[in-house]
Amino acid sequence: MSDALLQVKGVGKTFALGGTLWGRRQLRALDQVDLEIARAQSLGIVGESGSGKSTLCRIVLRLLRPSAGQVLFEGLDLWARSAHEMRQLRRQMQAVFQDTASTFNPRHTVRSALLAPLEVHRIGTARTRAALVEEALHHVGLDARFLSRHPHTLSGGQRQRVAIARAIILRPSLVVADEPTSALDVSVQAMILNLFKTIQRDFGLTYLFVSHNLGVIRYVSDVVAVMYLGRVVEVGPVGRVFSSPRHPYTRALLEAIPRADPSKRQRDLPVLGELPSAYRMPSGCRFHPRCPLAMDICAQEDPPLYPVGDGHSAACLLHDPRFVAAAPAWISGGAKPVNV
Amino acid sequence: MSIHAAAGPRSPGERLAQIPWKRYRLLVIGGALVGIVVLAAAFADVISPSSPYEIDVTNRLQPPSRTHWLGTDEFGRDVLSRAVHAARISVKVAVVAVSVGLTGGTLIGITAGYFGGVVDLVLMRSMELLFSFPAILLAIVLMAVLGTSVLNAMVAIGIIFIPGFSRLARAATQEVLRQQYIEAAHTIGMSDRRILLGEILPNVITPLLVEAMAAFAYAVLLESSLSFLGLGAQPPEPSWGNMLNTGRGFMDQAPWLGVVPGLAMFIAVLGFNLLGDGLRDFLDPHLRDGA
Amino acid sequence: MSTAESDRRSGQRAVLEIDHLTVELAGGRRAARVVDDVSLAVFPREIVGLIGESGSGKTMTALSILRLLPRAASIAGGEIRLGGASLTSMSEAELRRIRGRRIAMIPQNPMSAMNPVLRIGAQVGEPYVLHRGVRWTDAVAQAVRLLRDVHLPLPEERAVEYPHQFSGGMQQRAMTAMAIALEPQLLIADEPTTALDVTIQAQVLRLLLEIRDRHGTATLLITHDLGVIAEMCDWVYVMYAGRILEQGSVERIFARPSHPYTQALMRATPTVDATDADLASIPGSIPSPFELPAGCRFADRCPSRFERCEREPLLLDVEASHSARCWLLEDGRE
Repeated sequence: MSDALLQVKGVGKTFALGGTLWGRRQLRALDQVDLEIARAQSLGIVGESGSGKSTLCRIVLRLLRPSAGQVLFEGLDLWARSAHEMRQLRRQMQAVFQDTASTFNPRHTVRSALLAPLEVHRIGTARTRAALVEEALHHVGLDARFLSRHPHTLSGGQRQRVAIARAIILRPSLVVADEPTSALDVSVQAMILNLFKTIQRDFGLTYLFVSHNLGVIRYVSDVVAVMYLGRVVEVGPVGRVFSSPRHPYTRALLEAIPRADPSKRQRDLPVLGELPSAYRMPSGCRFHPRCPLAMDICAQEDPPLYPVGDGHSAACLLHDPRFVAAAPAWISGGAKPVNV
Repeated sequence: MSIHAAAGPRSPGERLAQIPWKRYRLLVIGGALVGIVVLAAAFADVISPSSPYEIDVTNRLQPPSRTHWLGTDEFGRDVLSRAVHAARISVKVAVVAVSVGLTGGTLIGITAGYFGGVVDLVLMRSMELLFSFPAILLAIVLMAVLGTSVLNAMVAIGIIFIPGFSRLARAATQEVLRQQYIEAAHTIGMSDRRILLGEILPNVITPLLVEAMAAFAYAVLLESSLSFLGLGAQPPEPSWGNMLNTGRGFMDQAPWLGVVPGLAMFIAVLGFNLLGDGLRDFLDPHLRDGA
Repeated sequence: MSTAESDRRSGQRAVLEIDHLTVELAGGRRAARVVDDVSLAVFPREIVGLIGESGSGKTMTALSILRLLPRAASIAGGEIRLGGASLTSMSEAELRRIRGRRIAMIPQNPMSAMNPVLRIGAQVGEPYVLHRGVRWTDAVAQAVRLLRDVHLPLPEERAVEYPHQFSGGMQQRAMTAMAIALEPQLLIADEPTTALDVTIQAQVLRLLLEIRDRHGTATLLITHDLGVIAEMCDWVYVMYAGRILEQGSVERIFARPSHPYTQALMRATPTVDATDADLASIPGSIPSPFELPAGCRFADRCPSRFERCEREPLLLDVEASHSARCWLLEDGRE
């Protein structure tokens, strides 16, 4: 456990929103999230709207304070640091966000956007900074021509490359990527994903990569955590989780993805129904109202993550020794992989 | 996605030719009018045919003639010279007042918008308190407290402007805070101060500048009102307001005494308003075009 | 028309025919062709896919059908026919009778397509009032029936709610209900599921299939997602920089993608399946409609380009029900 770069322990986050002065509604965005990322590893987070994945990113980046639990970076709690230590820590954790259009100050040029992190942390002198900026651009495949351009004159792919350059210029150890390719065309996405992989290799980076696109997660991650309504419902090596899912939600996700193979179309999709409102969380297991395998007990007990294999766990009561007998073959393991 | 952005960089000459001059009509006309007023104010001594203070009782209440282009007032003073010198007062007051209001309002608004919570509550409620007083009334009260002089008029008007600017700055700040580059700035580790001054301020300045133009116009009017009431520029200092006041009493015998300052104010206020509109049109789509 | 297309006809009359459509965008001295000589057809009971990335011209093509182009764009050539009748030569008044009634559109972003201050029932019932002169009370009753058809739970309660109370998936289904209200011959779905979660997307897509089965509606489905094409469509047109680069039945195209662009798109799409292959990106970028190359539009990004590519290729047959605009197909170079 000590070589985990980042540890998320029992993190919960509740927002008090709207409502009247005396009765504010509670939104439980995250609940009892436990995750770990080893150095130079890539953890993918997959989930749909309401899963809490963006909130998790912000908590990891210390942009938001968790209501419960801790985030440990290199073994030390993020919120137990002094302001000075936190400043230093910022250099180690950087981010790439989804919205390329607003991720840069429209008044700044590419050059000033890249210089900003260096100036904030007082790295180098004016001359060495210029060199670092050019080097960062070079790493993402752009040349010095782009320095005097304004970000809004660049294409989405180019902007995202500059965003990656900005993230690596401080030589961080952890990079959090929150849906970095969701707004990009397929071919541009491929280029950006390849870039992510290359720089991970070149700089020994650790990734927390969030996406709703399972194909993207498959490509960039080593380990994947599937989130649903603020909980991790399944976690494990990405190949194993996607070929042998052990949670009904993961399986539903995999089956819902349109496959680029016309010979395999129109399977029986499980009808899932509507996503419940996050203000009124279902009792017991969050997924039970939409789960094709729900049992009566599922409305009462909230399953923890049960280990189901090497580094693979799933939060489903069907893995509990009391109910294993009721589980279909694919969930209890030992069945052939899902039709992929 | 802008098709135009994809067309690539254009030469300065090409870009100049492609500027739709017709669109900037307002800016040009407004700018011209304001330019006239400002020039008159700056070069008042040079332009005025005679001294605005020189009394010539033998020539009182003369209609416009070749020697006195806009006539003379009840003391025989040249109306044109007085009007031109009055421009100086008006421009000075407008500039100082708007600066006070803009600076104060922006700082308060950005702080309230950025920190939110209690800070926002306290600041904006105070602003609302100030805002709830009718401008003239507030000005009169402030002048009563501070004393009547041009300087105090500037300060009083400036204070009146602060709430309006603060509200605008706060709204613009909240809009900017929603942008991802603020989050990115936090991630990089930027200090609050740097974010406020370097990231937020430059991006909220545009609507504030446009509003400032309108405020100039209002400042001219307020100053005139104050001196009309005897609270601003004191005689023998000419100001459009007090010229209007005296002119009021002579409307039958010497209408030019009232018409001239009124016309001068009209030109100044119209100019600033047009300039403000033109500036708004100029700044907004330009930014979106991705020049 | 190539032989591939005529195979498809087999005696049927197309619901939608787009013949050599050209759409120009005004901008400075030169006009830009965002849609250049595009021809496509949609037959009854068929779901036709139009796939392309940004800048391909797919949305402009769809908007031209109902003449809903932005002000700067205009149809510069070609004809669009609905069931044989020319849409391009119709007057605005005639076209208004077609919109919503014989051709309906499901937009990409349902939230911005709906009126935030009108209740859902009123909006979904509007087509009945506008085109059939039905009374509002009856129209709302029809609306409830439609909301049930699109599988919205408790439709009577949904009908009195406002758009912001619906989730994205529910909004899209409400838009779909509005679209099928008058049982149109043609449904145009412009990226209907792009903004939705995967599980919700599956439900909306399945709804479109159901509509096809129940009403025999012809559908033009515009998307950038190859998976959606494979899952839903019978026939597909691949668009790039205003031109159609490949077209054919979905089975053929996926079994044997023949245009280098189509192949590149497939190689660039990440899948959940195990694969050691690197995702192949496409170097360069799509040409601006203001600066279109003289020859093949894809040439400067194409790994297989050769001298012939300096002249723009024609649509050549690959096999039955499949053609591509690439010189590699000439004389079996492929």
